[in-house]
Amino acid sequence: MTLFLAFVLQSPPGPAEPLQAPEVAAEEPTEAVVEPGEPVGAVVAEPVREAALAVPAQRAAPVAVAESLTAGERAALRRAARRELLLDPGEVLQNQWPSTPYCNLDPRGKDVCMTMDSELFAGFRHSVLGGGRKFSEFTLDRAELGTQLWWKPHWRFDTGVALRVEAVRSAGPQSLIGIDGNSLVMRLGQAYGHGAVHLGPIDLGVRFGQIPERWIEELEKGYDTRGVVALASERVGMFDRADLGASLTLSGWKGRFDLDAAFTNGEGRAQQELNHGKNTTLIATVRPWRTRHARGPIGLALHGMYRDGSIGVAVDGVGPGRNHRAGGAISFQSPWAFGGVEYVRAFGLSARPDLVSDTVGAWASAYALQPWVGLTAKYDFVRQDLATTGSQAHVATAAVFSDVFGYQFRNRRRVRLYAGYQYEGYGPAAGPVPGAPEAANTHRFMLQLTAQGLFRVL
Amino acid sequence: MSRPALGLLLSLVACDAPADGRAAWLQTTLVLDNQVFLDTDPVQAHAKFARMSLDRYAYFRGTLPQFARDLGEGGGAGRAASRFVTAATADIALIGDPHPENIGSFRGADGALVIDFNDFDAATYGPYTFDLRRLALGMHTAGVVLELGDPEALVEAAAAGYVAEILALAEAGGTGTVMAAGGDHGEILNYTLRKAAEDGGLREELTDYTRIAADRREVFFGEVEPGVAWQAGEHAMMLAADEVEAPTPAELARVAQVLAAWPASLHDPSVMSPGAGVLKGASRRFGAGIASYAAPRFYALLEGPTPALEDDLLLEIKQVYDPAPLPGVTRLPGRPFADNGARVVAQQRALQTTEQDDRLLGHASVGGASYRIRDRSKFQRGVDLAKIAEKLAEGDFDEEDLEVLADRAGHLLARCHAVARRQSGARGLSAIAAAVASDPAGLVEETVDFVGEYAPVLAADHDRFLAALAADGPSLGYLRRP
Repeated sequence: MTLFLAFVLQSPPGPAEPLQAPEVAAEEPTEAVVEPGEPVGAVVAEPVREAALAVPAQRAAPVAVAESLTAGERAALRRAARRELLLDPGEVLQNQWPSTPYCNLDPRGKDVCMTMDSELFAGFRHSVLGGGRKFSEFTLDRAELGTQLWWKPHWRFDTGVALRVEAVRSAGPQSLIGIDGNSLVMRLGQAYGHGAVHLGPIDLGVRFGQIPERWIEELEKGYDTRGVVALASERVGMFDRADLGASLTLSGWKGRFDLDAAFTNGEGRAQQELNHGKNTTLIATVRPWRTRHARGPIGLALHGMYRDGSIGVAVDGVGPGRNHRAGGAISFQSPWAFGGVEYVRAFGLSARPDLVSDTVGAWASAYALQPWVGLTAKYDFVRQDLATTGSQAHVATAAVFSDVFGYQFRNRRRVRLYAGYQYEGYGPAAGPVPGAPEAANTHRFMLQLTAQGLFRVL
Repeated sequence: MSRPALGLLLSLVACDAPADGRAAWLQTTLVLDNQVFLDTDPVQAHAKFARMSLDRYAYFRGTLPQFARDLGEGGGAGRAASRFVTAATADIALIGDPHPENIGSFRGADGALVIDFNDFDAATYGPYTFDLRRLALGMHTAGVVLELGDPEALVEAAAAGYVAEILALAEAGGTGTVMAAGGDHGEILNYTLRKAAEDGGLREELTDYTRIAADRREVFFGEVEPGVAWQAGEHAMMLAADEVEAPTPAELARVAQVLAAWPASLHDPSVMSPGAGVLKGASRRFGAGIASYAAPRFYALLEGPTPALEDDLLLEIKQVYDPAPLPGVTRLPGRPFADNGARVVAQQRALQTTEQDDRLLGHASVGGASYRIRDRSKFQRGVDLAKIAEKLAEGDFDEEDLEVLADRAGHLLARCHAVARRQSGARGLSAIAAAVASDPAGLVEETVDFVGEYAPVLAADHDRFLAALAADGPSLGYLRRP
């Protein structure tokens, strides 16, 4: 215990000297045009950047303050340093919670930052179904605005709060009851407090509130084309993107492995708790191969999960219906290509405890000519009911895409346009009209825009 | 409480089979389907569940969403594939819930009485087999409740009637079977038309729901029929059968708002002469329907064309909700109607013999809630299993009359499907005829087989429902937040 306290309470690493400005005189902010690929604010931060490159990326660069600089100039340099996101602008920003926040909080502690991010998936879709039915429409598949506050009261501890609002149609599927017709309304997607303790190579994080589904969050680190189609398990409703509850994450060696444990109501974002049971979810992620290329990280991740879940009202003497999940996945990311495979089996689905269903999804995306031309393909296969022959359905998607900003800025700013085709097909006993799968088979031609950005506001 | 899952082995999970997963599913979906009532009017929600428990037919009437899930969802108990569906038959205009007690009489604009379906709360677009199987199951369930010797005969009669109508329309064209008063439509429907003419002509609805005092007609408050005592396990309550109470001031204001908006939705606005719509009083009706038992329902007494008391009008104003979702069915566009009131009225006009079977039919949307307004005249009289049971016992009806009713119902349903337009625009006849023509007898056989497989599921679910009520009470275990 004494050794542990000594470990926790030891002085933080870092220089004892005061911040030093670089030897080159700081320039006033200019209105210079920012070249594609250059981070906004790079001109202002340029004097700081040289010094930042000389130190590990996770620590704010100490800046030598020449005696010739005025107090205002020194303050401007400090603000510029703080405005930069955690990593060097040339580094790829990744979601590495709980190991590292998005902001370059002072490693000595007693610092604060606030980020804001937004995400939009909008598209045009032309659908052709059996029976001569055709339809075209513009769609808004996702519109979200998020913000996170981070505090670092101690160099081994950071904490904060995250809020995310999302747009949703006010009338549910097949419903005519909405707000002002079927207006898009904003609802709370995520809202939680978080904290992380850093103990050498081990980072321990906790979230509490309406927390994101960790399985989706982990897999999407290796999935670059969410804007055109969701992961298979999300698309068929095996997971909701968030739920009320708490989660604990143990991460080792900066994400070399992650162990997640989540405890949630199990009813998802749109329903209150209906029973006394709680979902218990365990996820293990291992990244056996991880290397750093000048253009960004390359990594292979293996994921496994199990959920003991319940849904719906409790039946007297029996308890609520089971809603378990078991799954595994492999994902690969690199500056040039992404790929992966996911398999999830549901024991209980759509409030049917007896139903066993499974789904497998495979994806691949790569740049043919970065950032202007890329290709993506995805195939999802689902067996709606393992006890029924012919209850399979599949979705095949292929698209070309083009980025305005390169891969380097993947999580900071992205404007990407997809043009693609999607086929949704059903087996003889699948779909809404058993015996007539052609009634539900669908061909879709899509134009899809993904626009997202993240920046620090405080 | 959840159990810690330390093993993470599929074999452990596979051993975790629920004791009765169907019971859990049934209870959960009933709660979810009625959550709006459980939250906003728990007394009526509980009464609805209690009403559903009185017999198997009442349970059948209250579980259309479960039927829809069983036919449309993976793992559903009713997902028997059909050889007679095609992509073109997937967007037929559906009644939604075409069971025997949703058949009744109407007095159209020309004054003639006709038989038609009379409940379009669940009307939507989807595969025609959904309606056909629902009608067949309803006939079978009615036969069981009436203790007929051969309920399966009703199923075959309904399906055969359906097929016969489709083939006849495909061959000869025309507008299909019209069941008008004066023709022979079987003892039960003939009786319905006869009684409708009598009671409608006597303005019996005014006798039941209004009183005359000091030369003024006013709405009546009280029991029109005595309530029914209900008990399940330790839980008991009185169920309203036909009771009207004074509305609250807020409800009365809502009725006035609905009536102000309603005339714009009439098929022929001239049916309401100036002054005819003056509101003389309103009451809230309890105990009507089963699926819509908990839905707010009001009677509005209007002045009518003249100040004379004899021509006063009685309207029914009922809040309408979404139809039972048909899982996976794609509708293009996804929202074919502005609101549920517009949906119910549009589908009723499209599916009935004429667009003016009910000249006072209309809808209104007030404060986000949607209402259907209809003439509460006794010219609109429905088939009633309790009355049929009484007539069977008296010897006025026999089992053969039920078969004729089933046959007529099949004809009626087929005419509705054939004449009304699909969501994609064309009339339904050509698509259905093309699907059926190769083996008409096969569709009958397939429908009989479906009911043979599914009727026991319905019976077992009814037992599960009764057990749930006895154990968890009429809330079905729903935890309502204050």
